Amino acid sequence: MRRFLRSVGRLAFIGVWIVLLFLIATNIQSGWLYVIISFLLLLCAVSVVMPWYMMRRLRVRVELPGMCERGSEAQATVFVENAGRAAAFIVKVKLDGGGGLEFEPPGLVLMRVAGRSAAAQAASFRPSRRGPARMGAVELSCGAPAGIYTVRRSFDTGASTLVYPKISQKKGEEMAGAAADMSSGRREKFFALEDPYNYRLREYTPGDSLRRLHWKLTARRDRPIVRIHERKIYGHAGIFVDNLRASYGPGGDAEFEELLEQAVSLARYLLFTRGSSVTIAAAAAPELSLESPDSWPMALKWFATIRLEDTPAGAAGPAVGPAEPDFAFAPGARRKGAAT
Amino acid sequence: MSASTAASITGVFNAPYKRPGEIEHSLPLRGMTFLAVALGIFVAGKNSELFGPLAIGIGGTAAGYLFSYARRGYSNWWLKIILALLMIAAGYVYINQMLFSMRDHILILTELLIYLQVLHSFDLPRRKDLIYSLVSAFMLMCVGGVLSLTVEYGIYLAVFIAIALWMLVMFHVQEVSDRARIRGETKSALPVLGRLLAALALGFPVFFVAIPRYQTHQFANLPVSGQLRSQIEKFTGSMMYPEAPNSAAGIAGSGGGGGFTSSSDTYLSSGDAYFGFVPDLNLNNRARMSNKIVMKVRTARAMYHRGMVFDKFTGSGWKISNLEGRQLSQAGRKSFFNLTTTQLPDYRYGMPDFQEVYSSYYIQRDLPNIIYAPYRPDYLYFPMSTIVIDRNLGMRVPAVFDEGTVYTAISHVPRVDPAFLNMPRRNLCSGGVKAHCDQAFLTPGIRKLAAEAAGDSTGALERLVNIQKYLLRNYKYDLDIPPAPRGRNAVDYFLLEEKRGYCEHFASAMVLMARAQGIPARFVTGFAPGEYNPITGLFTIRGSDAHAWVEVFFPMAGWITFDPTPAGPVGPALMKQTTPLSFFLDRYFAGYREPMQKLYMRLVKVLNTATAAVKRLGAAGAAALACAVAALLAGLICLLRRRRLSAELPPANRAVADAYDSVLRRLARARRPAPESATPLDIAELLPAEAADEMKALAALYSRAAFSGGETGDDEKAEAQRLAASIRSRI
Repeated sequence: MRRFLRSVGRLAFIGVWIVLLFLIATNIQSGWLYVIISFLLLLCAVSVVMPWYMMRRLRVRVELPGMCERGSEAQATVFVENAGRAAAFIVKVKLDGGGGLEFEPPGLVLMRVAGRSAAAQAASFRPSRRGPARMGAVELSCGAPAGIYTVRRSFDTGASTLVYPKISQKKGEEMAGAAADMSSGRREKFFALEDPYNYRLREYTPGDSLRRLHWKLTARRDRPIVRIHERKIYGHAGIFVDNLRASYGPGGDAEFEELLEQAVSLARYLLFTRGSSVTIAAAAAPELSLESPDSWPMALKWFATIRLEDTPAGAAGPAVGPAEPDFAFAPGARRKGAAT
Repeated sequence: MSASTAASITGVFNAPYKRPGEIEHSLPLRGMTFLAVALGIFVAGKNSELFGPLAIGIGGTAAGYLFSYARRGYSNWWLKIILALLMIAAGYVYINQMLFSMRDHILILTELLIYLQVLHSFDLPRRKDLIYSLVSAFMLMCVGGVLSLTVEYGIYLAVFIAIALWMLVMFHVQEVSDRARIRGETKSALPVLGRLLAALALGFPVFFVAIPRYQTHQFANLPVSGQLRSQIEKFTGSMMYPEAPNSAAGIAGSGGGGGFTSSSDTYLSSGDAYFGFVPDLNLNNRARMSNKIVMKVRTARAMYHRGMVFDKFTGSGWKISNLEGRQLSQAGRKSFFNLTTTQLPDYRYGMPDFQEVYSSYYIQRDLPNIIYAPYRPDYLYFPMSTIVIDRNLGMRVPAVFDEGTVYTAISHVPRVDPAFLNMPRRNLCSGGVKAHCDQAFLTPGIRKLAAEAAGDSTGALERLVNIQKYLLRNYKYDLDIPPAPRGRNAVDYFLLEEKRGYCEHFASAMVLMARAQGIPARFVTGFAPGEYNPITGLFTIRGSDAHAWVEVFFPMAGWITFDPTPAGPVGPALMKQTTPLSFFLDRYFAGYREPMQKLYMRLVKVLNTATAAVKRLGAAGAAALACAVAALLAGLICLLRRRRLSAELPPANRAVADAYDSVLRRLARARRPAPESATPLDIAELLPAEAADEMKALAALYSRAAFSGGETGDDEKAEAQRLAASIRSRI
């Protein structure tokens, strides 16, 4: 009702003016007032018809990244397709998000969408909840030309993404502090984990570090070639995540989320910075073995989808990777329910 | 006072605005709002001739806009208090004037609006305030429109509309930009403003013509100009004429305008005089009236504006038997006259049905002291303390009319039922209308002709219409006729010999022929309705609209107007509502009226025949026919739609789109319809896994064909058709 009133409020305001002027015009036979009334009536008609006509063949589509980090800014792409011949003007896309996706700013205004074309625009958002997130309805509104009446349409874009817990390098380092003492205590740079002599070559793809460029070959072949080094494995680590609801008290969800943030930060630190292979186990989720950074997306998916379970029924699953870890660590060890 | 005290006082007066996000910083927007407001003040002030408030308004508003821009960041609480007090004072002055002043209410309102606009302009921190300013500027434009008598106002209105629309678009852009990222420049929205203006320009005539124009009761003071002063001391109803410029003759007026003369000869010798406005009208006179505008009349109906009414035929012309009338006076500066209190014969006749008509007269040239009004004037708003009304309801005042004089008459115009008027009556000439049946100067020739023209009908109306038709049929309108021989009855000469004449001849002839038939009639001079201007809503009356016509008395109905001059209406000249539609039809399509009527009648006949045929078919037949028509219409719509789509895309692209559509149709048939918002890639997800990849490929082809603007190749078309066939088989 409020939305309806908001849509027609200005029309109603002009309508009141029209009635008032009509009364005065019939009262004093002023031709110019009839001119003004005609203008206002026409303005109302045009203000309803024009946006409706422009909106008629507009569609909106949103593409979200496959996975994104909770609380961190991510980019979505909004496509506004205009299948009509006429251009549409001052089109607003309201990205209310829903499903824990908070767009900032929550709106996008396209001043002009040419006929038979699609306009793409990046939009930033921050996922506020871990887990699968499905975007809510997107509202497309067009109030051109003078904003007297706005036509609104909702589109269910069906766009979804997977939100994994927030990763903190610092938190990973802190959590691994004890573990670092337990193992070799080495803190090496990323490149130190790579075998400098064993590498393969491939063409550069966006995202590759420029430091990997093989300059000689790049110059010779006239296209960028990068080196992909074999990795050294420095030991094996195990992380146990307790996802049994009984282990947490009331309001345990927040505690569990915090634990997951620690776990994922630790896993990343161990895998990327320490060069260890990591086995992640849980009380009620399949076990996961990470041998190299290539398997990191699997870990993110694992962390994105794990939930608190009432029973350890889902815990079964073959362990992949070294049988005996050099060390084992459970994030939140000092908390209730977490175990080393 | 210490420095810290001074600083704290300054701080109190310079407290920042509480919601800085709402402050409007845009200088162009403020500038355009000021332009709109200044234009509104200018138009309202100019048309109401309130030049003092106009100057204060524009100067004050300019200062106010500068001040409010400079202090937009402050709360200005102290200023708000001052402005509120000043607004209360302005409201008090307004109410006081409305209650106790005789000024036109619209002028008082205009003054108030201008002063409020000035006060408001000092406190415009937010965008919302600018919109309020724009709305009040719009009110001033409306006031200006009400007061405007010319089409010049249209230029100001067009400028105002352009500024207001530009501002609305800007406001709209700013509004939608709130908490949103903008892609594209604001100026890229300008085409939409162009389209809007084009739509308004093209669609405006349709709306303007279609709006009905009614007349409702006046609820405000009626337009009256400032008081005129009596130019002679003792006035009994004599004629007064404006003195020709640079004329030494005549009596200088004592004030309230230029000089005047009471000599009709002096008046008739001046260039623009009409010989119908003298007490002794001579039918042998004829002056070609100029085409200059003499007055503008604001009224809902096309009416004859009677000025002088003659009852006595003199053989060569007409005379008012008694020029002296009853004097009505008002004490003080009141300008309202209730004419019905005079108890003149016209007010004693019963009038079973009538319509109240308001007519406001805006005098554009100096005119004799005659008050023009449609028959029967009951109330008058005139800017003088004295008027005189004679026995035939001719009204005069003790001063000539200056340019700029404004007055309003409220008339009760009889609504006539022709059947009622045509009822046979025994003696129409009894009572107070005996003088209008005067048989003097009725020659045997006129009597014979009247009897011949009237026919043997018993109804008065029918006899009158027959006379009118006879005159229209057998006599020509001609301004270049020689005068009647000396001593010859002018009407007899016109009817029996010359057979050519002008409106005074036709009207005189009809009056005498009616009297010959025993029907009371009188001769009236004044102005024809004039030319209606649908834009200003005013009737423009020129010197050449001076006219003569006939009033005929019918018991229980009053005096009814007849205009026997060729091109006049046959039968009673009823008041006619003029609307833009009737104006345009009359002006541009008058020649098509008859063929259109014939066409309409033919259509009605065809429809009647068709209806009869359907009735013969019975219910089942009619249902079958309705189905057939519906199917035909549906087929036509499909065909048109297909043709439209085909017209939008090149054939190969269309083929790809068709292939894509065929998949959608198959999905719908399989009860898995794609949502309206679904993109091609979304649809791929609705399909079985083995068809999803093919659908993605088809979607890519479709996107290219439909949206890229480029032309699709034959191989792509074939590929799309192959993919579509494959997908369809898998659904």
